[in-house]
This record gives sequence, C-alpha cells and structure tokens, in this order.
Amino acid sequence: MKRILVLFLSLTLLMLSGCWDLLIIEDLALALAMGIDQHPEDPEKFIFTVTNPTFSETAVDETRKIAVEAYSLANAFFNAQQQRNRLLVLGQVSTILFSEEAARSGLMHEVMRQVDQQRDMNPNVKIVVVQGSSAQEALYLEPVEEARVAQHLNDLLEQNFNSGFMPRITGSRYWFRYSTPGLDPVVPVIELTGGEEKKGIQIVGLGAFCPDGKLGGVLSNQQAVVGMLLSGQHRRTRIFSQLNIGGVRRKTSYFVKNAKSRVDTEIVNNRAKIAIQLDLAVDVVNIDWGVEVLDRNVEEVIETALANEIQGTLKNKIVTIKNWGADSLGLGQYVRIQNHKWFEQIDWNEEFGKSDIAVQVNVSVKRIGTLIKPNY
Amino acid sequence: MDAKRYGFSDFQWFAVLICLTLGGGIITLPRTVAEVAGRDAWLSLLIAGVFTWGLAVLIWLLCRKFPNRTLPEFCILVLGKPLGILVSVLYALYAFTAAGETLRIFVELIKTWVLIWTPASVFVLAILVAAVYISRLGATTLARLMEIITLLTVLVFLIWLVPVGEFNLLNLRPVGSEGLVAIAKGGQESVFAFLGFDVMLVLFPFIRNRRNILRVTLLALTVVTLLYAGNVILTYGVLGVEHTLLQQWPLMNYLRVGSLPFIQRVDTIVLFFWTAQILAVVAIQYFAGTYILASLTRHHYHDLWSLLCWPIIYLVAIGPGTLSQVQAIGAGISRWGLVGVIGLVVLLLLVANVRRLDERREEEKE
Repeated sequence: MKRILVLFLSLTLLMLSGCWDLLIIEDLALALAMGIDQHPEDPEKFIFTVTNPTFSETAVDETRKIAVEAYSLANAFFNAQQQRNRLLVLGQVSTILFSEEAARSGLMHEVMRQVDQQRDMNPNVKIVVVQGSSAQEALYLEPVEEARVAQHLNDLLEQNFNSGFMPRITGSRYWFRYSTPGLDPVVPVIELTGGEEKKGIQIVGLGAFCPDGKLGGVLSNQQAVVGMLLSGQHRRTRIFSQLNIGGVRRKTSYFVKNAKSRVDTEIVNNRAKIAIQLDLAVDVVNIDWGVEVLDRNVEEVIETALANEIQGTLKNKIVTIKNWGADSLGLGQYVRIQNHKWFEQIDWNEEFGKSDIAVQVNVSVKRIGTLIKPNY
Repeated sequence: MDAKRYGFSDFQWFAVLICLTLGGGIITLPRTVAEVAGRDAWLSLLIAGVFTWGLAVLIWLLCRKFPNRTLPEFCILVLGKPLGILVSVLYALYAFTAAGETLRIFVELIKTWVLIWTPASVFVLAILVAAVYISRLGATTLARLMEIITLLTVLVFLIWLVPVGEFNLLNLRPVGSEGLVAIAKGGQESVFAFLGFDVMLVLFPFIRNRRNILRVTLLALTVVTLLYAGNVILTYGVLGVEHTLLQQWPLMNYLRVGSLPFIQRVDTIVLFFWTAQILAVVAIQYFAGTYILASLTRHHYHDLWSLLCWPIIYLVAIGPGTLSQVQAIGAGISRWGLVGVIGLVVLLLLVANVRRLDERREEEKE
C-alpha cells in the first residue's frame, strides 16, 4: 500500500510544472476597447476597431490598434487575429464604442446581442455612442492625459458616474433594460473635442434607445441627471444652474443630498395616467444673490425656483422621450406593477406615447453655502 | 451497526443534507421555475420547500420504525425478499444515475464557461477518483468532509452576494401576479431540485441522536429552501425575469455581473468552490448506492462494491451526447426519482402498518 502511495505521490509531481497550455499575460493581446462603425458601402458589414497594449519592450508604440471589416463580431475577432502575432483575448475589454450611425440603424443592438453570446466577454463592459465622429476615430485618438485611449475613456466614464453626471451603463444593464418590459436602454454619448486636431473626449448626453434597439435621440446632460434622480442612481450629484428668481438669472450650484421618488399609476379611459413625485433634499453650494441666506424666506424662494426648474427639465424630458417612443425612465415598469392585468393586454411601446404623465417636484434646502450674504 | 461510534453528529447530518440537496439544481433553477411561475418563482420554491417537509416527515415516520435497519434491510422485511432486493437495487441504480447526472451538468457548466477544450472524461474521472476514495473510507470520513464543504458553502454564498449592487426590486413586483395555479405548478417543477434528502432511507441508522433527526432534517431543508428562494430572488433582481428566461445558465450570468477590486471573475471563484459541492453529491450518492449493495451482501464487500460501481456513474455522466440530451435525461431522472421515492415510502409505510412491523417498540421494550 505504501509503495502505491509513493508511486501516486511521485506521479503527482509531474503536475507541478503547471498547465501544458498555460497563457502568459505578456504573450497575449489584451483587447481593452472595441469600436463598431457602419461600413460605408456594404450594409451587411461593419468596421471593427480594437486597441490593445503591446507589452513588448521593443515595441514602437504602447498600444496596437487594428481596424478590420467583418460581418459579425466573431468574424471581426478572426480577422483581427490575422493581423496580430499574439492571441487576442476579450476578457479585459472595458469599453465598446459605437458610432451614432451604428446606434441609429440598429447595428449596435445586433452587435450587443452577439457580445451577450461571447463567453469570455466581460458583461460589465461599458458602452458608449460616439457622436459626430466614427468609433474608429475615437479609438485612434491620443488623449493628452493618458497614453491609452481605452483607459482614458474608461476613467472618464467612471468619474462621471461617481460624480452623478451620467449613469453607469454596462453590457449587462443594456441587456436587462432591453429585455424588461416598460424599460428601454440608455447609453452615454461622447464627442471628440479640440477642433481639427482632436485630442479629447467629452460626454455630451445620454442616448435614449427605442424598444426596437435603435437610437431614438440624445438627451442633454441635465435631462440625464434628472432621470438619475428619479431612478435613484444619483451619486454625490452636483447640479449647476442659472435659477430664475424674480425674473433674474442667479448662478448657482447645489449638491443633491437625498432624492426620493414615487410613481403612481392608474388606468383612465383605457389610458395610463402616471403621477410622478420627486422629493429632493439639497445643499446649495453657491448662489449669486445679495440676500441673507439664513432667512427662511430665502430658502423657500430657492426651493420653489429649484423645484420649478427641475420639474421643467423632467417634463421636457418626458415630452422628448414620448416623441421618440423610448421609455428610458422605466415608467412602464410602474404601470406593469400597479395595473398588471391591463399591462398584459396592451403593447406598452404604443401606449407610452398616449399616456398622461404629471410631474410634481418638491425641494427642501438644507443649507446655503458658507457666507451669510453671498453677494457682498 | 454502532451508530454511537461511527455515526453522524447532528451537524454532520445537517451538512450531508445541505451538500446533497444544494448540488446541481441551483445552477439552472432560476430559469426552469421562471418558465412556469414567472416572477413569482420564489413563492413556488417556498411551496416546494413545504412539500419537501411533508415528504421528509413521511420518510422519517418510515425510518423510525426500523431505527437500526437500512433501506434494503427493512425493504426485505416489509416487502419480502425478492421484491425487497429488486426495490433496493433500483434505489441503488437511482443513486448512481442521480450522481452521474449531477456530475454531467457540472461538467457542461465548466466546459461552457471555463475549460472549453478539456475533455469531459478528465473532469468526470477526477471527481470520481475522489468520490470513490471518500466513499470507500466509510460514513465517518464522508460526514467529516461534508462538514468542511458546508463551511466552505457559507463562504461561497457570501461571494454570491457580490452582484447585489445591481439588484432592482421592481423586477420582483407585483408579487402574486402570475396567479395561484402558475405558482403551484412552479412549486411542482422546483420540488425536483430538493431530491437527495431521501438518502435518509439509507443513512438513518448512522445518525447518532435519533431524537433530533426530524428537527435537523427540517432545519436543513428550510435552509436549502431559503437559499434556493434567495438565489432566484437575486437572479431576477439583477438580470430581470425576461433576461433570465433567455439564459441557459442563469446563475453564471448572474455571477458574471459581479466583480470585486481584487477578484474580477467572481463566477470562476464560485465554480472553483462549487466543485467541492458536486464532489459531495457524487460521494454521498455513491456511498448510499454501494452501501445498499453491501447490505444486500450481508454487509460484506463494501470495499469491493465501491471499487466496482463507479463505471455506472461514469457512463451516465459521459453517455449523453448533447446538452439537450443531458437536460432531458436529468428531467427524467428527477421526475421518475420523485415518483419512485414517494411511491416507495408510501408503500412501505402502508405495508409496515398493515403488518404491524415496528421495531422501535421492540427496542423500547428491551
């Protein structure tokens, strides 16, 4: 028995050398970002751009960028691999960029469905739409602050999420929103900045997608923030504004400390009637107004002005997304929950545009700045 | 059998039940139940849990009549030798096939998500070698291993919570909207996931504290029910019911959403630990099957049966060619297994009562 045990243990020593097909990270082409553009001539194909670090001391550039044309994502990986001397792996892709044309035509949705089927793709990959330029141009950009555009873009999106300016939209969130009745996907939209010599990236809004997976339009940053407040995704949000107080525009900014929303729905004459209530607690950082801010009346004036402004923005947003037919606020979910039987019988995509939506915003100012009289 | 010396403590019996029941069902449960009960699947699981309680009580009522006999022994006593042997052999075969099916589902999962190019036989043999080794060493070793695996499972369920940041309660509302019929049907569908605890029929004589058996069994089943329901709630909350329904392996898709600063792929960590859980299922079922065969041969040759029977599990695990076949066979084993277990327990209870067979009284008199 002892001999058998010794023989068995000796054989296990053979395994100590590790896997025979082990992969060393330096020998891989780790894709960090991918871009998808419409093909200029062939509607069946698209342009696929991928960027990855070179990891070689003798490499001329820190990153390698490849653009290929393909008819599917798997075909694109195959074509890109033919130009790389190292194994292209997808597990580290942090961002996928789509051109606005690709988003509007439905190509983006088609590709996202294919991404969902890639086993090694990270479902937490961030998604963005590039406005005014191609995804390829964005990936070939050389930002001033960061040598790797993929890293720069990832940090930019993460920072804006943490600042409460833009929701974090990942692959899994896109799929979830697309599959869920009464909730449509949204994706951040970026633009390249710096005139002819494009050097930077700027987030310019939030793309609202229709139920068919096509981009309906782009919401402003302000509208995006209001949507986040409503859906509880706000994070240390700071809002900048020119408040209309007594017909005069007062420059101000404020932190949103707390946001509570309530959505009540009912069916009246076979139409959804939706009442949205949003209660905010804010901390005014600065205001351009020559009053004593410790006066309760001043607080009340600011509360009313802020409530009116946010209410206006929210109403505008609702009108806009109703026109596009994109329920990016997920109001349909509340209708489904509160009027389940009615919801089962109708097509919410059609009913959303016909629904009657009322908005009520209440603001409570907790404190105003650090000066007694801001305009001294 | 000297249960006092070689038997299971309360926690060990609890661990055996947890390991055996949790096994493979949890991996696909969120989809299979949602297909019937929609977003109310978690209610179906609670109903299935209550049903399982009832079945556990029936098994306990039967086993306590023969506290020192294992399944083949009391089967022969109650049904007569030919029928008793036939039923016992069938149960042993059921245990082997259930082990093989669980193993194959896990292999499918591994080959889909992690080790795509590794042959299935490598996984099956690697787990079988360990399972045969453990099972051959007897109930005490088995029970100690189950204790360790149960403690590991606690860690796994902490990792399970990583994607919880994406949880959206709206996905689970409105509660009860699918209707009572759908919820009940979902309960019927999900009760198969609890199969395994019927191993009490074989292991009852090993349990030291007879007074606590029912309490510990029900506690273990309650924990499993809550874990199953919690798993479904988390999966729907994160992926949404509609997207869950699209997934072949919803649990993997759920876990892949989570990431930690120091662990990017939470799913692979869970799979790593879950291997122990699958090993536990195979080892317990294998022990139960071989122990039945050993009992039929007058408690001789358990070593020999342990060394001989593994090809059955291997063939069940390797046999099906496609995933659809694996799922069809799995559904068949679960359905017929449940029907068989309920039928057997009810039949044995009825015949034992009619024939006034109750060794407990004799034991008490002595």
